[in-house]
Amino acid sequence: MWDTIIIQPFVNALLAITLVVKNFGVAIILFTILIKLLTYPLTAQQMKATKGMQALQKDPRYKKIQVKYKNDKERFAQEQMKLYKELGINPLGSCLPMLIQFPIIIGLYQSITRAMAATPYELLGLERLFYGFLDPAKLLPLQNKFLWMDLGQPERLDIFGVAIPILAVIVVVTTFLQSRLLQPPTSSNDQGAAFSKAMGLYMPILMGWMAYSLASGLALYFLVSNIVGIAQYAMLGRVNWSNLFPFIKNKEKATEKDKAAQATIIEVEPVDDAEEENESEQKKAGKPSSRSVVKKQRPKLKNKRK
Amino acid sequence: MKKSKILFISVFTVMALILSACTMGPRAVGTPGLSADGDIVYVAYQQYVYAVNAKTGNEIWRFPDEGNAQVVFYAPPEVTDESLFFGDLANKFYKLDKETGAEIWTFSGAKGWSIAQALADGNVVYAPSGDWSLYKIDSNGNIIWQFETNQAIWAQPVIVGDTIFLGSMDHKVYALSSSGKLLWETELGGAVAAAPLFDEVTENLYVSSIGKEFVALSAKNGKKLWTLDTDGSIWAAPLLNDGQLLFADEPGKIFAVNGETGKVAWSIESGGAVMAGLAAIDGGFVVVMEDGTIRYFDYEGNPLWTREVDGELYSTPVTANGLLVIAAIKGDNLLYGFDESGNRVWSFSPGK
Repeated sequence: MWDTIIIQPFVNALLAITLVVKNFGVAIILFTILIKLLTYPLTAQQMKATKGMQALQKDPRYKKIQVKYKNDKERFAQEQMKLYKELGINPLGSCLPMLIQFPIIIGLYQSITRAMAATPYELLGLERLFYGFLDPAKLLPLQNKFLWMDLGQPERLDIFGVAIPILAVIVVVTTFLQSRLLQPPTSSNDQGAAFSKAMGLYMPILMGWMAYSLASGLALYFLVSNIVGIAQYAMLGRVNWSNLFPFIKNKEKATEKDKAAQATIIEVEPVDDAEEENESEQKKAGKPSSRSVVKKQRPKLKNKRK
Repeated sequence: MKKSKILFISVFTVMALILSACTMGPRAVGTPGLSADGDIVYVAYQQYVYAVNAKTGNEIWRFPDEGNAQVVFYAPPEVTDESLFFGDLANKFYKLDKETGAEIWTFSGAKGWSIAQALADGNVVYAPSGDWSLYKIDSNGNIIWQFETNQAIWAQPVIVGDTIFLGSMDHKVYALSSSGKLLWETELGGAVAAAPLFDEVTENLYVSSIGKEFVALSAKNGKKLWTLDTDGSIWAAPLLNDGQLLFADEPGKIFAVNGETGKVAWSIESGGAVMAGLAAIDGGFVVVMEDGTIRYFDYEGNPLWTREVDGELYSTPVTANGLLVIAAIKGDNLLYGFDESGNRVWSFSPGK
């Protein structure tokens, strides 16, 4: 079932690309890009939903209901749902695209592994996956040399007699860059941020070890996947360049300060019930309300703060 | 413990498990490499090479003493009077004392996996490698020369006089001099995963190809003499009996072909998928199938008996001590010993 729905189409697409470009390494690169492009709408949807959830976490109304109903989980859930509706957030919006993408990513990994058949038994299995329009006799075995690599073997570049795992190093660097660039620019000490930071350190080590010990065809896939991933997130405006380039950080911080200043001004406005009643009376009398007066004064106040 | 900490530990553990599953298991899935010498059967499978008594089915020794998941053996061992030669999937080639299983030397000059059986000839050994090269190694484990093809070599070389014949996954058959010089090369319609067979009478080479063809070549110049197209790939070397070549294709059709003319004398359906070569035994031959079926035929293609074992059969059977020895995977036992009447005499399952 899994083979028929996922592996076989993936393997045949990979083989068809190999047939055209005559190089399995180039085929892995093109196929990874193709799959990433096809799953781009899902990635975009996931990012949008994640952004919405992050905005929700910062929303004062959310914080308020968190405090207010901390001992009443049922009521909290009800209020949370109301807020979701109000802000147009789908709570499953970030999970569902990820669930759909997961088998595709696993399938991509497995199809590359299957196509790199390294024993007669594995090659027989690959031969049986061929669709009728491809001729196994012409294609098999796949040309597994790419640049300095044997795609079926762990990669090492011999430099002056020392075998250096260049590709594994690049995979570590790109995985680190990817996790750094995707970290939200927060200085908060909450546990979510700590977890994200820990994963940002752990993932490059994990991916590096896999790239070091597995066949270089898979390491090549990890590398291309990382690069395309960064490019996709950049296109979605989700890359925090300030995590790598501090001079961008200052600019962003300044913008955030401005936003914070505005938020402070709004928050300091005392709006009690008596004032609201007064406001409605003033409106009826054709006089400007105290709130609109404050709004008009806002630029001045901002200048004062500065 | 707080929820986030539990989540972190869980994710960490899952990742560690994924990592270990990906990198700590065997590096590839292969089939047992089987060979025999007198009363002893040698089988290379996963982390060990076993020497098994063909009379009793008992283990004599295993190599190495402690298996390593990163070092996997699938190439059938090459047996000489005193030694055993084989390679692993960690790019190492070994010479062992065949009586004790003690390591004599190792050769680490290759950069690819050993899938094919090596060929010993006097004081030298020819070791084919997945790094596309054939290595000629001296009695001390030093390289004499290296001949590079354009793909992995999964077929055992054949030596006739001073000429070495070699099939490669690059779709070619090569003839080399004893000094490693190329004499001729011939391109076939597909990859060659089995040793060519040399017939002293016709002086021809017969080559199975996974490109769905069976080809006769002149051993002198590599000229194609005839080609027989089949419905499926052919993974094993043919069996020669009285000028007739016998082989099976992957869908399971068995062919008996005249070596001179290439004409099919007869063909029959074995009844299952076949990857292994046919094995001669007492006036007939045996075919083993992927589904665990063993069938014995006479040389006219008449079925004599059928047996079944638990597991899948991909390795060419061998004969030792008058018994037919079969290797299976995914079943209860690794080896089975059958007599000529099809009675199971013993089975062997490696202990821990």
